[in-house]
Amino acid sequence: MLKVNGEKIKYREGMTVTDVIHAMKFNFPLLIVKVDGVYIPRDEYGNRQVPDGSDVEIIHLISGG
Amino acid sequence: MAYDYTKRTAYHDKVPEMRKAHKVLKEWTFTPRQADQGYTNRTLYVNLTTLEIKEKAVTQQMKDLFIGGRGFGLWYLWNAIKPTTKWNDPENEIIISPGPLGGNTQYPGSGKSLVVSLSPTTGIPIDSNVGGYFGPLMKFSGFDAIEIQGKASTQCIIVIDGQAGKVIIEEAPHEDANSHVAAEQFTHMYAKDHADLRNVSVVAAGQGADHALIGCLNFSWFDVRRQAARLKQAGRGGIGTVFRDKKLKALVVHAPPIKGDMNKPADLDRVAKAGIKMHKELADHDLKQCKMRRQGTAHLVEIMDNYDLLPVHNFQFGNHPDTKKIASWIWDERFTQGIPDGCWYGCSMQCSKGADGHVVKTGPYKGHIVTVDGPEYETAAGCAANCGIFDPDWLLEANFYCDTYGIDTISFGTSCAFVMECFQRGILNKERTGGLDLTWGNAESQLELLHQMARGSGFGVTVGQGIAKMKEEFIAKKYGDPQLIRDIGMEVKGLEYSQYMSKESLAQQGGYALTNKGPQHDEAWLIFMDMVNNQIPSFENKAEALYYFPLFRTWFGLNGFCKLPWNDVEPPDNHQHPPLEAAKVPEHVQNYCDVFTGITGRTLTKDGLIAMSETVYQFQRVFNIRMGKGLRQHDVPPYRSQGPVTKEEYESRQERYDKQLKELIGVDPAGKTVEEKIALHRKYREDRYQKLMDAVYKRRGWTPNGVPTLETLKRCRIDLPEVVEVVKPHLK
Repeated sequence: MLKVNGEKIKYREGMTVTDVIHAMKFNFPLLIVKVDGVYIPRDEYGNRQVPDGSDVEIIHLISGG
Repeated sequence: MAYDYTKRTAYHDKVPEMRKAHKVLKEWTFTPRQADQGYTNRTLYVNLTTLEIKEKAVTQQMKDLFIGGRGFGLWYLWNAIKPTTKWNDPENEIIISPGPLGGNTQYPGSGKSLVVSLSPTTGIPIDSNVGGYFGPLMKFSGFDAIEIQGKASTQCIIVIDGQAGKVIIEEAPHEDANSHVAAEQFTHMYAKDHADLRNVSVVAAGQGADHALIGCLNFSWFDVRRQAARLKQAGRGGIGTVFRDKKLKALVVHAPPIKGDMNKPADLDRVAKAGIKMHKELADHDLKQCKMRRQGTAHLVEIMDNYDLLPVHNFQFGNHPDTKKIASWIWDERFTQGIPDGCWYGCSMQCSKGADGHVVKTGPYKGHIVTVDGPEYETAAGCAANCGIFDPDWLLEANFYCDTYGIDTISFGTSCAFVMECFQRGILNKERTGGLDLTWGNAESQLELLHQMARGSGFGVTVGQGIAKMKEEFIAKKYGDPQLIRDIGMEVKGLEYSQYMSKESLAQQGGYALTNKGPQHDEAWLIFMDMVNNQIPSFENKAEALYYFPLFRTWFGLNGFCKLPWNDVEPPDNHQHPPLEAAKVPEHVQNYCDVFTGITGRTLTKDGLIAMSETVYQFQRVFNIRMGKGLRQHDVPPYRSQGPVTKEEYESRQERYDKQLKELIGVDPAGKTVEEKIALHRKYREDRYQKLMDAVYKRRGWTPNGVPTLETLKRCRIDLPEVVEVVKPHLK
């Protein structure tokens, strides 16, 4: 199980940050991702695995408007 | 799509004959004056009834309290009208001011003009920000603002000639009032030669604004690559209607050639340093982030759809399978790429995209080839998705005619969606619409509504009155259930909603309805912060966001800035800030402080910026109260913006709503009818909104009835006798 922005989602073995973003159906480009408080740079989303039980913050910044 | 982007129908071949028909009604000479630290220290006053033209001093008190832009507009309007004034009374004014930082060419997004008037749809002051060259060219001709009062007796224009030092009121009988024609004709008429075309900017509305209350103003800028007078819109609140009611066909400025230091900044290096940093950031990151340079704000279409935030069928639903037909990649292809599309010099965001080569399908310009300015996100969401019209060609057609007729695409889109839902639910039928079939997706009927507005005939005139008046009319005529009509008519204070779904974000419900002018997202856009990030869970958290962001965004309107470079590109190290701070983009906020300090010589801190805005914001709230709105009862949104009104809405997201019943409201949905569940949601959601109001009013320094207290006015330095006099009766 992972916690993403306070919401529980099902964990899958080997999940990367990109997988978590896809699982949440997020397509907004201005994101800040932190896994257990550690910032993950955008170019590492595809490689960085997210451990089971992690607390993931995927902060959407504001644009548009 | 390959086409020649300079190819379009021309309208200026008869300009010499047209000019010959002009009759000078009044000419006034002035000494051109350069700005000094952002201000020219004078305003141009024009009265179209008496033909008086004069200059007025910009006082130190005005600069200290109201800064410029929207602040100047509100102050002048306050002094011009009475509590009983209506929008079409001669004393109503249109004030245009770019603000002290407006027109700088160093920092992106510095060409905005702020337009203020008493709105025909809300009856309270409206402010609308707009790109294009007019505001800066007016300032560099010698005026911080123009104040237009009175009504002309014949169709006329005002020309500010900053090269010759003259202001002229002329009768102009033959030019087209519609903006894409008027902008081209007057640009060519008042430029001395080809190279001078870029020094002319035209403000115009159109025939639609003659008959609708939702009229907008177009501000032109000459695009040297396309060789076209392009248009940007001051859309909200019907200022185009006021403009046409004054019998103004156009407002023209002809300025001296633009140079980089015309604000005469106190510290140009400081301004330039902030600008260079931003130009680099945009060049390095825009393509990886929002793609504003390729798609403008239309990049948001499929994103909003994905988060269930794109209004579909009058805000009933938040997404649609056909959104892909109007998504960003379509506009990436339709917009001419590789052309700098900044609507002011030095704007490297370049998001003022143009769709060239549109062949007009309907109406008086059928067969003409035109450049459509946009569509921006709001237009795509409002005129297309919200009306169920997922066709890019029809969207371009609606966008073109809204602009040239002087009709606000946001109010038109939301109003059109409202009548389409009324048609769906039998509140309207063909007999009541004069034969128009307003079924979802009927693009031809949508365009016919626009043409009717321009002709001043048919059901289009009814739609052009805006939703608040349509609600009253439909209820008075007993067309349907009054409660349903009130619930689905998306307006607050008389202004139509802009194009975001707020049902699942309480903070955004407040972001729309707790605004000064009505539900326009330029005060606060908090949906992600609230609904997706879950960063502001408590009422107090939401109230803090509804304190900070409206004030921060107000500041752009005081100074002539565009909001987009603030947060439609992010510095790569923005993540170093705690998430709530990151949303403010602290590095960019510091840039704004540096630019303000650099131009005006007045040191500005981040806290000082908020305090500066709050003075004007609180003043505008008091102004609303003075005009009969601005109390708690006026801040209540229609229920459609808060939750599901109809069975279809509930059933379309049943899993979500049932889960909320169980987890948030503590009611087991099993065995309950949809109607019962809707009622439970409604009670819960409306109660939470009332609690939000309490928290926000407290944070803003207002009474529980929404009135700024004397302490608040004093803190904001607007405890002026005439201001205190307005609030005192409400504080007893």
